Amino acid sequence: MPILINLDKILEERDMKSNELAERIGITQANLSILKTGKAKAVRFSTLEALCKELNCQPGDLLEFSEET
Amino acid sequence: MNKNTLLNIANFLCQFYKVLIAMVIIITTAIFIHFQFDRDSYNEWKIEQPESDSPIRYETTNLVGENPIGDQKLKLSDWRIASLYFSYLKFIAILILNYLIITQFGRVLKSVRKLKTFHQTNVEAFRKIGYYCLLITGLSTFNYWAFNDYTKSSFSISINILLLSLIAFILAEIFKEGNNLMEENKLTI
Repeated sequence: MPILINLDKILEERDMKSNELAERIGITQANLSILKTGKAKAVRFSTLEALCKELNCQPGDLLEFSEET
Repeated sequence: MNKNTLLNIANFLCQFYKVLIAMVIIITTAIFIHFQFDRDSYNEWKIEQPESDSPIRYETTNLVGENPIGDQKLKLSDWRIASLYFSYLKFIAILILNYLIITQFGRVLKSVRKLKTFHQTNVEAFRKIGYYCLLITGLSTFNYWAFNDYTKSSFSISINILLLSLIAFILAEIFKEGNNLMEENKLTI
């Protein structure tokens, strides 16, 4: 998918574990894993808002467009 | 009547119909086998002359022998062997296909009860129902009845079953769309 999710990189920078983030934003670890691996077909604004709030970042920091598929 | 009651009734009817078909297959086969060994026992058994009600048909009827039967009923013991085998095999094949259709429909009902309505298996089930209906239409196309004093062969297309096949294929497409929407919803985080 040409849209990449930089969640792993940001989590590493914040020194935060996936399960901790999932708990904080109120989604399951399975769903966070779908998001991290790029299998998700859509992201709700509410999820994006929660992610930005918890990781103290902008949506553009999380999402990246790449020509390569 | 709530959803579950309706599904339970439909499920019961499916099971009942399956048992009925299985019984008809067994009884017909038993009579068919017995008929091979003891034709004379069926001297009194008579059947109506076959008629096709399909609007698309072509048929030829021949009344043969010294005493053509006219509009009388046909004696089972006069049934010629080739026509008998043909009719028996066709009848059994159609019954088996009906059994398979009901089995697939039962699976769809079961998935609806489990709230897995738009699962991929239902798309496949409706496709199979469509193909089975097409096969039934194909099998019903040609009829060959040959008795000692009466012969009839006909080509007819069963519009109802053909329509049922089309409906099953359309339902498969609808369920495919539903499945896509479900998958998309599942992968929306």
